[in-house]
Amino acid sequence: MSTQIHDLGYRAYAGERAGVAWAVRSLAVHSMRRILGLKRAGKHKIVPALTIGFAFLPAIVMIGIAAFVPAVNEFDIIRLGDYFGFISFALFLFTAAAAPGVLTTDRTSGMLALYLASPLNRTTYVLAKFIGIFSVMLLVTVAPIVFLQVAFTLVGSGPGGIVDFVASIARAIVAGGILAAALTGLGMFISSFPKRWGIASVAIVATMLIPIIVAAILTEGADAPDWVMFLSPPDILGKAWEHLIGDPVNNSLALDRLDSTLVVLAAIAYAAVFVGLTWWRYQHIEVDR
Amino acid sequence: MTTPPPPPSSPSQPPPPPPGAIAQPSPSQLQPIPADALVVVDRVSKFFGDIVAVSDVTFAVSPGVTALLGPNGAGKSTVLRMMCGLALPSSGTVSVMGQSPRSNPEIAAEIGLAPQQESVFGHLTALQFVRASAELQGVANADAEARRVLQLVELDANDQRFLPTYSKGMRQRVKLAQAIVHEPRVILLDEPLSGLDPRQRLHMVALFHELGDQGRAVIVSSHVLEEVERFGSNVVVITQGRLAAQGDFREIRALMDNRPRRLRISSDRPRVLASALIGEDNVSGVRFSGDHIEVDTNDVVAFARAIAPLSKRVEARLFEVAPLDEGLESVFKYLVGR
Amino acid sequence: MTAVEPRPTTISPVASIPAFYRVLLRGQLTRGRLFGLGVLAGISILLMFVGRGVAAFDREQASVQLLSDYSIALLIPLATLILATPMLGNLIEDRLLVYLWLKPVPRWHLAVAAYAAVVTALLPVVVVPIVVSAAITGFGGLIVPATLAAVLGVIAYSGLYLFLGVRFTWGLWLGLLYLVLWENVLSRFSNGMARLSIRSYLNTVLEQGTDVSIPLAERATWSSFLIPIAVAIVAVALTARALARTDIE
Repeated sequence: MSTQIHDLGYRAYAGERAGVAWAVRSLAVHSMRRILGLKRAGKHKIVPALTIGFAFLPAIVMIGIAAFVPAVNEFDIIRLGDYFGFISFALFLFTAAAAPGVLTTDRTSGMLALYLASPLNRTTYVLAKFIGIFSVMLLVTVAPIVFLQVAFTLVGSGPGGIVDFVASIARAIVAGGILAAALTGLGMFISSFPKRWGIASVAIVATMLIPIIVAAILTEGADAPDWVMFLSPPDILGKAWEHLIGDPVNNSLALDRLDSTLVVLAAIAYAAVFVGLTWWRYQHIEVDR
Repeated sequence: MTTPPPPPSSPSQPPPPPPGAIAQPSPSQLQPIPADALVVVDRVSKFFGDIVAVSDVTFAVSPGVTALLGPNGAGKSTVLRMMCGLALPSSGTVSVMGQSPRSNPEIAAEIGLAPQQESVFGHLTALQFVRASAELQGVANADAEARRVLQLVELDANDQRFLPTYSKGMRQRVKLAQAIVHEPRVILLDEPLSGLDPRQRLHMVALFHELGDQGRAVIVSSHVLEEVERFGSNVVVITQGRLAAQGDFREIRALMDNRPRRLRISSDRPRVLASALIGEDNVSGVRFSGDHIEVDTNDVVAFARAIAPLSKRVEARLFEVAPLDEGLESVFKYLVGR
Repeated sequence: MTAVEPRPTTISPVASIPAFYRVLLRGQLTRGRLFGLGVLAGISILLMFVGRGVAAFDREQASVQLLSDYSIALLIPLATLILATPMLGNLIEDRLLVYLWLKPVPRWHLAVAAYAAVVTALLPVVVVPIVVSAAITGFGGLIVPATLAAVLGVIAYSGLYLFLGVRFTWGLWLGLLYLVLWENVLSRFSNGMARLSIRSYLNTVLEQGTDVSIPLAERATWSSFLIPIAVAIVAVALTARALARTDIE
């Protein structure tokens, strides 16, 4: 063995560089962790835990009934199509917590400038944030229904046959995916304006609640035409979800009378518009640090 | 600020430390408070959950400029906040002019604070900000006083720009202006020279001294030693939440007798002189540094008496005998590194 | 510098509260917030025009229901949430409260000034549109109860949300949860829960003043006036207490 003194001073990194795709992945994972409060103090886990728990609650109730009281049809208690209505507040609150938490803080802390000084540009930054928020949104829009279908199948109340089972899972994924994409886009677009996450949260909730109330007042109270419901994104997203799940609710309201194909297309359009608006907003946002 | 003598020992008290040793502050040895002290911090501790931010700190501040010195995270800002009443001590007491700043809001009229944070009101100009501060302090002619102090800190009172557009140095000066507009007796400044250019620093330091000469207690918190040396020689050194030392930093240096003094000696025959110095009992180390010799000595007084005859004996001419570690940096390194 | 001049060590509320008020009010009326509040207020007026289009025998019911479902249920609490919670909450978050706190005044001066700033900012943004909305319906008997309900709502929500903003880092979120979960969902399940809903007292004022039956209006008449005021007084007192006890950054 020869005798050597090793140079332990500064050296530049000469290894492989993973590129923009890895940067996007890293930022998306970081955003997911932040939303769920992972690797943070316990208090940051409360809101996501409560909202996710609330989203699963009807499913747990239905499975409990199916498992322990087989004589009772669980769908007499909660219809699949009603699921969205039961958890809609949890969805709104989760969106109001998720998007501002990962977007406004980047602008107020100066991290956005640092991200844009990295291999990420404005488009890939928005993409990374979308992937992060969207992935977590799937926990409340897709996971409860998939959990429900799997559990029903295990207790013997689910779809008969492998084809029907796969179809039900696929419907849950598609329906929940469109819903998650639209809510993510809406949350991100609104969060791109205020610098305070609290104000962004209030704005998101207001944007969800006000159209529901206004559309209901116009169509039920003022006999406005049914197409006015297309101007209420939360209503359209919920109804599209019902149609895609395969169990639309019909209470003879204006929303229920709309053509199902148009409703689904409108929901997809809303998702695309919100995401597009977010991308546009971030092309023009001023980075001041 | 003077270092009071240790109290007489008694059977129930621990024996006083030997002469020259650095006094270890403890609850059982309460130092007499100077008669002119404006701020007294008495056995103050501050806990944030399990974190001890400040532990059993006791000192008094008299009129003049006093530097609150310590590394980042030492607890200086926490001590400053407790001195203003912004934070409640977990134990111990803080008094400003004899009153608790926490429970007596009236004493805020005698306290001026320029905090460390850079954030400012986004909707106010410099004049509006300082004038509002003056109004809330009950200053008569708030507008005129605001203009006067803004001029004092070399800012334009007629500038219509809002504060967020100001540079860091300008914000520092605005903060200082609002801290002194009501002419408080106690002025607390947290990192006040940060962001200022050299000329502005000189001007501000002169202002601090002027305020101190007027009988006010100006307490300046900093971890930048070059800044602190300009404020004067009174220091309170805090490290890891504890009081490490207080008083004139030169006197603190004199008390550090377990640490050799280092001197630089310039001579026409350095090697001959170095050989002779090694044989001296009070020399613990000799090294060459370029054309100079650096000597470590445990007894600087004896060394000072011995160096001239020694040089004469070896026929070496002395050009310079200068201390290398009399400055604040040396004191600081020693206190913080213990 | 000049020699120290004598000055009072405590400032009277007549001097300090207006000074606090001016600093606080100016800071909250940003363009974004005014735009958002304007949209909220504009919707209430727009909806009332719609109410006029309803067939005559439904018109009074529709108008009162509109006021309850939108103006009282959403406009007042949302607008208050946007202004009241950040009034002092933002100063705490931005570490600016020190400049207002370290003054020789009792803490209640600051709490009262903040509350006054919230209420006076909300009056033109919330109460005036509601009064205009009520006037648009054409029913003169709706204007007074609508105005009373709006004023009481502003009084109560302002105090509550101001306190939440000071006491809790997540004050705005707590206010949102109170609005969305408690007032719009849980209070419908029991009368007991409705007692803790400010909205139920405002609906009672509306129902008692118009003789039109609306949900969540089962409170006694005297309590529908007294409770919102009591909520505001207690909340402002708690705000002052929180300011006195909390550590300031």
